[in-house]
Amino acid sequence: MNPPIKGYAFAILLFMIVRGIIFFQLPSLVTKEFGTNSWVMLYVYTAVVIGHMYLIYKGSKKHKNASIWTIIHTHFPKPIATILIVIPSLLFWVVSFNLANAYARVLQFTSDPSVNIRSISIIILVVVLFTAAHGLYTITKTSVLYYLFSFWIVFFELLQFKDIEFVRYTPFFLKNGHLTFNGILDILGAFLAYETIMFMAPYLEKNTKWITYAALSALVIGTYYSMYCFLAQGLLPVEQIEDVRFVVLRLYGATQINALEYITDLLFITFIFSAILSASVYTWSGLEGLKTLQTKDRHKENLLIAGIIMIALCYVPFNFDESKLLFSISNTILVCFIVIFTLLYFILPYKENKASSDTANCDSTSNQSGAAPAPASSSSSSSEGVTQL
Amino acid sequence: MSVVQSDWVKLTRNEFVNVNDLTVEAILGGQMTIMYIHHLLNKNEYHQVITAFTQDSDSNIALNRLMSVWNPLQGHNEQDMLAKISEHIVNGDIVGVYNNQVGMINSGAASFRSIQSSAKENVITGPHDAFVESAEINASLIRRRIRTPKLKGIKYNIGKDFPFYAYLFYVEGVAEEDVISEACTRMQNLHMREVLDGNEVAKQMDDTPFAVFPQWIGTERPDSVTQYLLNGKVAIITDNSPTVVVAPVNFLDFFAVIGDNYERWHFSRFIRFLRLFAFTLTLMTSAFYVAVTTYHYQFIPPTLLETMITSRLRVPFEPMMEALLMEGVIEILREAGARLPTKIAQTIGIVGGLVIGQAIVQAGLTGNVLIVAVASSALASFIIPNYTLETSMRALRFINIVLAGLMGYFGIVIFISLIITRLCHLRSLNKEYIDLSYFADFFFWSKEKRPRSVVQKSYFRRGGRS
Repeated sequence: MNPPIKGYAFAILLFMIVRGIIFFQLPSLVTKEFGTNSWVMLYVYTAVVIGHMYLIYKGSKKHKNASIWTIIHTHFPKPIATILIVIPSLLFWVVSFNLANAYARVLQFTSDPSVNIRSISIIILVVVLFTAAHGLYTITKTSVLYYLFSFWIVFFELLQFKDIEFVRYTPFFLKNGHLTFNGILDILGAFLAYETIMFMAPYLEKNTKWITYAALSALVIGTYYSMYCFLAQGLLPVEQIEDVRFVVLRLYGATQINALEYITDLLFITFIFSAILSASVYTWSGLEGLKTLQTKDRHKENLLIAGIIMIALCYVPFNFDESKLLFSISNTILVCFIVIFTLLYFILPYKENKASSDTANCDSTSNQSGAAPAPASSSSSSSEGVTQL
Repeated sequence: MSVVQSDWVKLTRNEFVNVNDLTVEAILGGQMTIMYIHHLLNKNEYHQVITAFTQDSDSNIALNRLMSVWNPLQGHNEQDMLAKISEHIVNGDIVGVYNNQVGMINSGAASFRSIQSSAKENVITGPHDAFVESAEINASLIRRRIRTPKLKGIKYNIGKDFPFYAYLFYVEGVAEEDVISEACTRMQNLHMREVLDGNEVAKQMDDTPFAVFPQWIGTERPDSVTQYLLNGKVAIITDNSPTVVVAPVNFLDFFAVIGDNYERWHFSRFIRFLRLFAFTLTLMTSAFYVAVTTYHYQFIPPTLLETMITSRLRVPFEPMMEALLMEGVIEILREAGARLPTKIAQTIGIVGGLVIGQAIVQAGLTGNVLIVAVASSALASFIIPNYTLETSMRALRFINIVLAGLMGYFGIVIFISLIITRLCHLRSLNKEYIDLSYFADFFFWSKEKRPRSVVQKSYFRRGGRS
């Protein structure tokens, strides 16, 4: 059986899954929506996210750390529960596909125009399924190692602070923005993935006040985003940032370390770890949803279904704009579900027996995803462990 | 026992039919019959237990003296008795039959290699003794280091058709109970048709048998095993094998050797870091070369790119094929060197390294830069202290090269992702293979604290604070 997830590992997991693909174009999005000095708005988003996390924490405590899937399954009649679980689960797999697809497109942009987006997406999704199949505990541990592999890159960016032109930080805040509802949601998309806490809660250490770690993680990610946004707005004119496609990647190219200029795209490749983790956590959340509805362990079948759906999506010939639209639509629906789930935490009363069965559910999943001891060859003959040397 | 004396001898003869090295000898004027396998007999012991008692004295006195030191054998029935007689004979003991009574005396089995230093696990400072092919001697080497009855050693017959013996060792009060019970359960359920080495036992005891990475550490050094036992692990000594296997292990354990503890801490930690670096180098160097020369020219500074292009001008193969070819040659040379006598192996190394390497470049089959990459990678693999892990790395390197050849850096990153996920999922004796809390202990040394491995009950190195 896997042990519960520790607070620090949970914080790192959140950091890694939230820091996703949108990060590369975040300064452009924020500047477009909010205009000058808009980096400051990222802290507003962070505050909103932390506030929402707190609501989830309170709701989760009310239901004794039960997963939102279990709460839905406990309180609603089966047909309604099935709809409320299956549709978001499918949505999560679409989001996983979106992440893989978006990464493949960025890879094509950075590495080679001849990169086959479909093949790359399928390869990423296979890795995602492989990771998700191992369960949340392994995903979390993997995230810590990925974090150690990739976090050091941020320190290269610190060197650029002396190159920024303070003239570009006008005394005006939030001027020349073109605020749109979709734009606001797109920026929120950069912070999404934290909502999977709603499914992770049963796997966390029981006595850990996980909101502290979650808030800390959100604060770090907010600062991280703000730093890149601040740098971009200091290094490039506001009008120009809006038109640069992946402005964060260009920041690496502008670094003062000569050797780093050559490996800009290589540094980008390390961000695949985040893409894989985000997609894995979404895929795993979907699998957890289906598991709640099933009485028997159908882990492999569920995995196969998820795989078929995600890979089938790879064969739909989306162009760049259609992909963006799908990303945007699925994000909007996701936000809707997040709001509904958060409300359900508080609307639905606590039911004791189902919540405790959730804990058992957690254990059985851990068993399933943990490495069970391989029984040695079975025979009934002659082992007698008796002689003491 | 109702059967007559001659029946035991006859029954034994029938059991050992076509075993021509069974000697049946009548001594003391035919009053007693002794049976033994002369190939297993230690001649000095034979003299001490038979000849010395029987020469220069009356046969009855000699018989009484003999019977006073022999151990009587008793069985529940004829079959049981015969099984015991056979077991003692094949173990190298002498079985004597006198007047319907059966006795045995240990005459020492066939000689073993003397205790020498380990050929594959050298240390500069520290003890130099190593295990030999006898479980008893190996156990004594451990017992000499941990002189306490809390060092437990449980004997198991893990043979399915024939007896093969293995001993499970652990230190009571140090190893965790769940680790001990898991190891005991697995040993009890282990029935193998052939057990020729400890590594075979380890493979059967693995949590994930088909994983690329070893889940038990095999070592020939008694001081290593002692340290592992004192850090809460369990050890399995297999008879007739100089390899003792230890679990549960952490992935980083494969990069630490006992010699590190004998060096000054800063140097030993530096070397550990170097080993991890070498591990990365072994897996990545050739693959990086392939990825860069196939897809990512833009990653290379112009001067270096020029050198690489010049070195590859005459090469007819794609970088992936070129790398696979060179890695293949290196593996062949390494395998040839390992199987040949030392002096010839040295020659093969020189011929392979210098002559073939130079000739391949001159023939235009590969570039100079690749030779440097492959050689660095091969050299780095030798720094990995555990041979089993090293062989795993060598196999994985080929997969990485193919992925790099097909997908460039993306392939390498995918390879890293799969490996990391798998490593994070692996267990050794139900304990985690990658334990994040162990990282700090691996790199830093504490005067007071022992490594906080997952199985560590007593955290403090010094007394009184546990």
